[in-house]
Amino acid sequence: VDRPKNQIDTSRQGEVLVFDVKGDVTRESGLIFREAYEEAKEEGVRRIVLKFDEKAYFNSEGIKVMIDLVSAAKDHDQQVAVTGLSSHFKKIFRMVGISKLAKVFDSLEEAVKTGDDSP
Amino acid sequence: MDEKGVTELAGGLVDHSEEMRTELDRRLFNLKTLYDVSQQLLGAVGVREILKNFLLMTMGNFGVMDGFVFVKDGRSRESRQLVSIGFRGVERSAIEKAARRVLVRGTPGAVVLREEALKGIEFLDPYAACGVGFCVDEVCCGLLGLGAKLTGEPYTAEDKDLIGTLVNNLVISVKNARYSEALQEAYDEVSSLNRAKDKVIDHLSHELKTPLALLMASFNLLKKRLASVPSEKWERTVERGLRSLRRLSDMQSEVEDIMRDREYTAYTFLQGLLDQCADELEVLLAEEVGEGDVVERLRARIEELFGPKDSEAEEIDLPGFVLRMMEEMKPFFSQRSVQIITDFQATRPIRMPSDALRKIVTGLVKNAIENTPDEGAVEVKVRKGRAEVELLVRDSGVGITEGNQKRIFEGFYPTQETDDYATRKPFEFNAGGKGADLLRMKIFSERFHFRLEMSSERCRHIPAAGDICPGRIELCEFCRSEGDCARSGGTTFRVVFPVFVEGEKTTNGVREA
Repeated sequence: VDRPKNQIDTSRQGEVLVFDVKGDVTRESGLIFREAYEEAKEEGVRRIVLKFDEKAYFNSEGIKVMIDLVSAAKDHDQQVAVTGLSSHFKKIFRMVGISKLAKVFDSLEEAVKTGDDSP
Repeated sequence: MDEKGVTELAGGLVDHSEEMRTELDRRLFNLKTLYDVSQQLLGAVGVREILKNFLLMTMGNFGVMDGFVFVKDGRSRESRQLVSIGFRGVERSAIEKAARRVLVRGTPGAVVLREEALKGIEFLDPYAACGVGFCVDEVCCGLLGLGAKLTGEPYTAEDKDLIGTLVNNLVISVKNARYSEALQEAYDEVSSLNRAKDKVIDHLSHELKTPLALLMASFNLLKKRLASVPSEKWERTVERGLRSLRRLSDMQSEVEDIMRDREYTAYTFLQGLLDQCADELEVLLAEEVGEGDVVERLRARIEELFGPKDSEAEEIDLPGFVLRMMEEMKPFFSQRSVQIITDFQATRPIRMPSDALRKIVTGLVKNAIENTPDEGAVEVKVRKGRAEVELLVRDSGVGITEGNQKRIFEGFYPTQETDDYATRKPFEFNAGGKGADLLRMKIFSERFHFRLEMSSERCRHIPAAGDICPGRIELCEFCRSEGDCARSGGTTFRVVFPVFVEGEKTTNGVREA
C-alpha cells in the first residue's frame, strides 16, 4: 500500500509550537523532523506538540526517529507533548519508553493547554 | 460469591484482558520489526547501509538511546565497519577495542553475550545492556551492542531471542553484501586491467606505424635499385616481403580502428587467411626448390581457384549475365534430365569483377544440378529489391542435414558420407567435388561485399546423412513426380548484391561496405 509521505506544518499556539504531522513515520521522516526541530530551536520555543494522524503508522525506525527527537528536545530543556496517536501506538510509545520523555495526550487542546504536567 | 466478589472478578478479568491486549500489541510490533528487518536488509546493497538500517530498527524496537554494530574482516585491517548511535563521549577506538575483546569466531550466526562478557565493555551497563556476537563467515565477525532501554527495564529472555533472530537476518544480508562487494571489486579490477591492456595495444600499434612505413619505403627503394639486376633473381622475393609488410600495415590499421572504437568487422578475415596461406606455400616451395616455375604455377593455381585479388570491377546487368552463363553451361549438363526453370526480373546494374561473378553463378548452378535427381528441377531467379539485386538458385535435391548446414561454407567439407562420396564428372548427380566452391564464394562475398545465404531442408524420406537418393525420381520409392520431390526437400542459395550507384565511394572498383 502506498502511504503518504511525511509533511509537517508548523503553527504557533501561544508559547507552543505545534507540528502537524501528516503520513507515516519511518527512517525517511528523520530529515523532515530534524529540519522542523531546528526551526523550533531557532525560535526559542519551550514547548513542542507533535500532532499525528490517528492512522499514522510508526515502524521501528520511525520510533527511533521519535526517540532521537524527544531526547534532543530534552537536552535543550524543551518539553514535548504528543497527540493523535492510535491506541496501538500509544502502547508502543509507552513500551519503548518514549512516553517517559514526552507525555501523550488524547486531544490537541489538552496537549497545548497542559504545560508543566509534561515529563 | 457475593456482589463484591463478582465485582472483583470482573475487574480482574478486565485488567487481564488489557494486559493480554498490550502483550499482543508488543508482539505485533516485534513481528513487524522482524518483517521490516528482513525486507529492508534485502534491498540494501552496501555493508554500511545494512548496518545502519539494522541498528536503527533494532534500537527503535527496544526503545534504546545508544547502540553500535561493529563488523571486522580478519583478512584486512581496512575492512572494519562501525556504526554507532548515541554513546556521547565514547570514542570510536574504545568501541572497537571492546568489540575486539569479545568477538567470537565460529559457526555463522548469533551468540547473545552473558553478563560476564559484557563487564569487559566499560561503557555498557552489564545488567541493563545487551550484547550479541556474530559470525558472518570464517573470516568476518561482528558485535552488536545495545545500551539500556529508555524504560529502564532489563532485556528479557524473549527480547534476547528476538535480537538473536534479528542478528541472524543481519548475518545473511552482510554475507550477501560482502559477496556483492567482492564481485564489484573483481569487476573493477578486470576493467582496470582491460584499460591498461588497451593502452598498451594502442601504444604498440602507434609505435609500429613509423617503422612499417620506413620498411615499406626501403623495400620500394630496393626494388628501384635492383632494376638493373634480372627480375627473376629478386622480384618474387621482394614482392613477397612487400605483401607481408602490407598485411602488417593492414593489421596495424585494424587494431587502430578497434582501439578508436570504430565499427570493426572481420570483413577480410578469410581473404587475409588465404593470402597468408598462399605466401607460406610459396616460401616453402621457394626454400625447397628455389624460385621458379613451380612457385609461379602454384600462385597461378590459387588465383585461378579464388580469383586475383585485384580483378577489375565492372558494371554488370545481372539477369543478362546469368542468362548467358546458363546458355554456356547447357552443353555440360545435357546428359542430365534436370529441368531448369528461370525467372529474371529487370534490375539495376551491380558492380563487381565479371570473372568472380562467373565463378559464383556457375558454382551455384553446378552445385544445384549435382544435387538434384534426374527428372527433378532447378530454379534460377533474379529479383530486384530497393537497393539490392537478388540471385536465387533452388534445387529440389536431397537437402543438407542440420548438422552439415553449419559447416557448409567452411570449405572442403563434403556433405555426403565418405563411403558414398566419389568424384564423378562435373554436373553428374552427387558429383561431389572438394566442396571448395562454397568456400570460394564465401571469400568472394567478403572481398566484393555481397551477402551469401543458404536455407536447406533435408529430404524427409532420407533424413540421415548416410541415406541415399537413387538419383532419378522414377527410381524413388517415395516420390512419383517432380512436385513430390520438390516438396520433400531442397536447398536454396540466395546471393544479395548491392546495386551500383554512380559516384559512390568504391575500393578496388567495388562499393565500400
